[in-house]
Amino acid sequence: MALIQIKGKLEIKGIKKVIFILDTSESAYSYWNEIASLTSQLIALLPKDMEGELYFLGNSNPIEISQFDKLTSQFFEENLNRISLITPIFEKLSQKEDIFNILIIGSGKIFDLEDWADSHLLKQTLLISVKDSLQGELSLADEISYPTAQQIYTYLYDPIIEVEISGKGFMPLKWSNGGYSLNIIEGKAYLTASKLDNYFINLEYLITSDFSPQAKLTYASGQKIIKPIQNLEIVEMKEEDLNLISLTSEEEEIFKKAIFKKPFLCIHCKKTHEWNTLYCLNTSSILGEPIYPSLNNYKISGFVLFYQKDEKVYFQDYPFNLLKIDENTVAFREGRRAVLYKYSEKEDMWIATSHTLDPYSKIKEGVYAVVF
Amino acid sequence: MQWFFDKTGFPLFYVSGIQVQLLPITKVQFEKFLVESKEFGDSWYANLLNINPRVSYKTFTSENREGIFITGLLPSEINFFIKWMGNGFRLANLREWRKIYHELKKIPLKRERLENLLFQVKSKPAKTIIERLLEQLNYEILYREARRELNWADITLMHYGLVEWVKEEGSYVGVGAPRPSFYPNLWEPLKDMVKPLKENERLFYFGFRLIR
Repeated sequence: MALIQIKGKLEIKGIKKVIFILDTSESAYSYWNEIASLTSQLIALLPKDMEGELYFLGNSNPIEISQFDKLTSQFFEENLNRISLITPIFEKLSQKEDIFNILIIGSGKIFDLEDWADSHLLKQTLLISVKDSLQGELSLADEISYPTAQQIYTYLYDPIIEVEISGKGFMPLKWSNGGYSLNIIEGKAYLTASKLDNYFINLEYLITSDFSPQAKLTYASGQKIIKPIQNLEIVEMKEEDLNLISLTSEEEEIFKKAIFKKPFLCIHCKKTHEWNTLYCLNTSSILGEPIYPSLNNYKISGFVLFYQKDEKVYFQDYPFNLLKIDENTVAFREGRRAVLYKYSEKEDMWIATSHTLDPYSKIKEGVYAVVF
Repeated sequence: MQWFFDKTGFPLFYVSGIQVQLLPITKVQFEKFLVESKEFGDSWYANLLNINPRVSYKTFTSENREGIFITGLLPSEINFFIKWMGNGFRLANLREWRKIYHELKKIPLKRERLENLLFQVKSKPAKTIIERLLEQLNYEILYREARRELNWADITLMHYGLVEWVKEEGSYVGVGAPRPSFYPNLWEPLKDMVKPLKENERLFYFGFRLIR
C-alpha cells in the first residue's frame, strides 16, 4: 500500500467539556440551595471559553451553562420533583463523540445508575452528594460528599501533559507548532509535545493510504485518550503555490555545472571549486559564504529546492527538517546533512539508511534538493 | 411472524387475533413512563423497589430475573401507565389471558423466529433481556429441568414468571404461576385465579402485561 501525502490538523482543548446534571427530585429538592450555590460557584471558576451543558436529572433537554445564574428559580420550578433516573440524559450523551466530565450534584439514590455500570459515561462521572449518597450501597462511580467548588474544580482540571502523534507509515513533513518534535524510535515516527499551553497543530505527513494518524493524549490524571487526526486533503503541489526566486546568471552557471558534477568558478574567490562545494571558505567569514550569494538575502539554513524551468533556475527556501524524496523515502536534516529514511511496508518501519542526501539530488523532474 | 413495537421499544406479537406484549412490563419500560409523566416521585418509587428490588437488565441472572419486572403496582396505578402508553393498550381479561396462554403453550419455540425479532428490535434493554432470557431458559428447561423443547409460554414467562393483573367481572384479579423460588405456589393458570385479600395491598409477585 503506497504512502500518500496528506494535510491534517489536531484540535484539542486543555479542559474537557463539562456536563452538569442537577437533582431536583423529591429526595434532593430540600437541598436545592446548596446544589444551586455549589453549581454557581463552580461555573464562576471555570474558564470563560469552556463549553458545557446543564441538565436536570430525569430531563434530557439541556440548557446553556451561562443561563443558569439568571434563571435558577425558573429552572428549579420547571424541573421540581422529577424522578431520580439518569437514563434519558445518558442515552442522549452516549450519542455524542465529545469527551466530557459529568458532574451529578444532588442527594438520594439514582435508581438506574447500575444500568450504566462500566460504561464510558459513568467512568467520566463524578457524583457529588450534598446529603445522601447518589449510588446508595453500590460503588459504581467516583463520589464525593459536601465538597467545596474548589475541590470539584481540582478534580475537573485535568490538563493534557503530553500529545504523541503516530500511525501506520506516518512520517510528518511539516508542522505548524514548534512545540512538537519528531522522534523516530524503532522505525516508527512520533511527533510529540508536552507541557504546552496550546496543542493545536496543522501538519503535512506521509501515511499509508486508508489510514489516519492518531494522537494519544495523556492527561495529568494518567487517563489516556486516542484522538484521530482530521485528514483534510491530499497534498498536490501546484505551480501557483510556489514562491520561486531567480538565481543570477552567474549563479545559474554554477548550478548548471554542479548538477552535472563539474567544477565551477566561484563568485567569491574566483577560484575553481568541486561541484559539491556549497560554502566558499576563502572569505572573511569563519563559516564561509554560500556559493549562491542570493541565498544570503533570505537567511536560509536547511533545505533549498532548485527549480530548472525554461533554461532559467529558481530557488525556494524549504524551512522544515524533513523532505520527501520519493514515495517511500524522506531526508531527515541533522545540521548540514540529511539522512535518508526508507519506509518498509512489510515491517511497517522507517529504516535509517547509511546514505545522506547528495547535493543536487533530483527529487522530481526539474527539481533538485540541497542542504545548506 | 410479524413483530410490533410499543413506545418503549419492546415487542408485541399476534396470538389469536390479539396483539400481546412478549414480556411482562419491565422496570426500564416503566421508568420511561415515570420520566415523561411526572406522576410519581422518588419516595413512591423507592417504596415500590423495596418490595421487589431493582435488578439491572444488563446483569440479571437466572436466580434474580423477576427483579427486572415492575411489580407491586395497584390496578389504579397501572391505569396511569396504560393511559401513557395510549394506542389502544389495555389489560387482558381473564378469558383472553388464558386463551393466549393456552395457544402459546402448544407452539414450540423456533429459534429463528426469535433471531428475526432480535434483528428487528431497536431497544437495547429489550434486546439484552430477550437474549439473556433465552439463554437462561434454554439451560433451565432443556438441560436441567424438563428436558423438553421450549415453547412460547416459556419465553413469554406466562408461566414461571409473575402473577399478572387481568380484568374479571369489573374487578381485577391475578393469573399465572411464578417460579416457586420467587413465590411458592401450586397455582394452575388455566384453572386458578389469584385475588389479593386487601384491595390496596402491594404484592411483590404481581406484575402485568398489556394487549391491544
